[in-house]
Amino acid sequence: MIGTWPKARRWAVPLATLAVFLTVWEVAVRAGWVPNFLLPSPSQVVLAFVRDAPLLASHAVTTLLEAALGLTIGVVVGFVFAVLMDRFEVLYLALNPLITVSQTIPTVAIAPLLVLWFGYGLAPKVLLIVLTTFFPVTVSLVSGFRSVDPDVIDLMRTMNATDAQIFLRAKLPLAMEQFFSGLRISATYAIVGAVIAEWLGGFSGLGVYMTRLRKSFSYDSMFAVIILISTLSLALMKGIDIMSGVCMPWKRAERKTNHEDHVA
Amino acid sequence: MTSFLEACGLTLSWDGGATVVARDISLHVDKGETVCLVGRSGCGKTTILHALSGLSRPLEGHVLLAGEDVTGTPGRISYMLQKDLLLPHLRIIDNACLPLTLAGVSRDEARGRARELFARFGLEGTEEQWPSQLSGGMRQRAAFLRTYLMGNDAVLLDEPFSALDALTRTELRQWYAHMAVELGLASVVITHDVDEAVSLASRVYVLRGNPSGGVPSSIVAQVDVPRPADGESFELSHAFVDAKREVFSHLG
Repeated sequence: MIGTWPKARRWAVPLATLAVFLTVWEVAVRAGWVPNFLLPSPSQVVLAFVRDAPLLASHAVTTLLEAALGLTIGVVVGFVFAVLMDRFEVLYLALNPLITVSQTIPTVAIAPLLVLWFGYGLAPKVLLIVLTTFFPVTVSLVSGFRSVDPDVIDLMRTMNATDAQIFLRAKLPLAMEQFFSGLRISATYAIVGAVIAEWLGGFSGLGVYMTRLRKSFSYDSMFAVIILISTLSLALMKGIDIMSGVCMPWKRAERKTNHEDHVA
Repeated sequence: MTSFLEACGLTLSWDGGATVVARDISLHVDKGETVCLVGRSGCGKTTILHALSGLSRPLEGHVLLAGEDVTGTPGRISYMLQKDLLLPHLRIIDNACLPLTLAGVSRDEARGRARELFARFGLEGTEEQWPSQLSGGMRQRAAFLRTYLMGNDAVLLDEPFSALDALTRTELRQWYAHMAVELGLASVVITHDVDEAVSLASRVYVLRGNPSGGVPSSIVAQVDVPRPADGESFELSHAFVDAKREVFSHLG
């Protein structure tokens, strides 16, 4: 029963796994089992990270800017779509399959087209991020709206609530949890989307920097970028978790109650 | 002499008229009085309550509130559904206040009005808690308070005690009977529990039929329950058992 494990041990297990993995990697490279020009050791990656820090930071700013802009627009678009699809059944029927199909198109396939149409500037990158991030938000919100108990809506109607009140006071807050789980996915897409868009052309950004590193065979620096991208994605997800905690204070009480029930 | 709330010859349907659920449903209830509608599961009790609340329109018949036709007009009669339906994102006091704030009363004023009633509804100390922190019985009390703050003297209750454990159910039932008289509410309670019906109501309407099998339900009997002055010992009396027996005989 993993659920009953103490918190410390739940942290210790993955950390120990990671430590073992890194040790094996370091030893494998140092012992020469893997040629060093193909695979840098973890310590070399750390050194590269420190050495490249100012450069990484300046490229990260561009990537973060694109991601933030794209994610914001994507969330707004996703939100508007979800509200309209919930309000008008015909829009739900019309758009739901199209939106799903649109998500089967690989990002790497449309990215070159966007560059072709909109050039090497900010626009194609932001657009690509919007296209990938609006979907999780729309889907999670629509399903959140649709899973609201119809009895709640009936109850509100017996209290003479208007449609706007039913939406703002009941449906929207009740769909919050699903919205945030969608937003969490969107956030990871945002950084990755920005990097992919930058691969195909641009003047700065972590993706642009990566293509330069690849051409110069600087694999240690390349790994450093990968670590930075992961860290940024994780930080963004953590930020969204914090935001969801602030927006839904009742969730903390629910978790606590569940925990007490479990202990009892 | 007309009653406070009256239903006259309601005919109700599912699927917009395809299946007739209940036919010629008439009942009446006065302020300070509780009546019960008893029937087996699936006989259309909830559909009847839905129509009384105004959420749906009957094919035929009228609902009269103090002589005024309120058929198909939600908002005039309070309706408490089977589930407590407390909104998880509102504190207990804000859940109770919901009918007031929806009507445009400011949050502070609504909270003030609700706060005065917390002790009376046995909810003191829970004002700032979230619904998930309360037991089933307390949640149901909060739902009662919310229903009361809807401000209507006529109240419809759909199996309000069915989700509770036996002890809480008996306790809350007695508490409700007491509150309903004290607040002068005209209550219509639906239930499939004959014990509950007889112990709550001054009049029990027995509903019988099988709408999904093509037999619309109708009220087959009306059993008056003689209520003694002290409600406490009533559930052990002969009158209680006699009334129960009569309801059972009509349920078939």
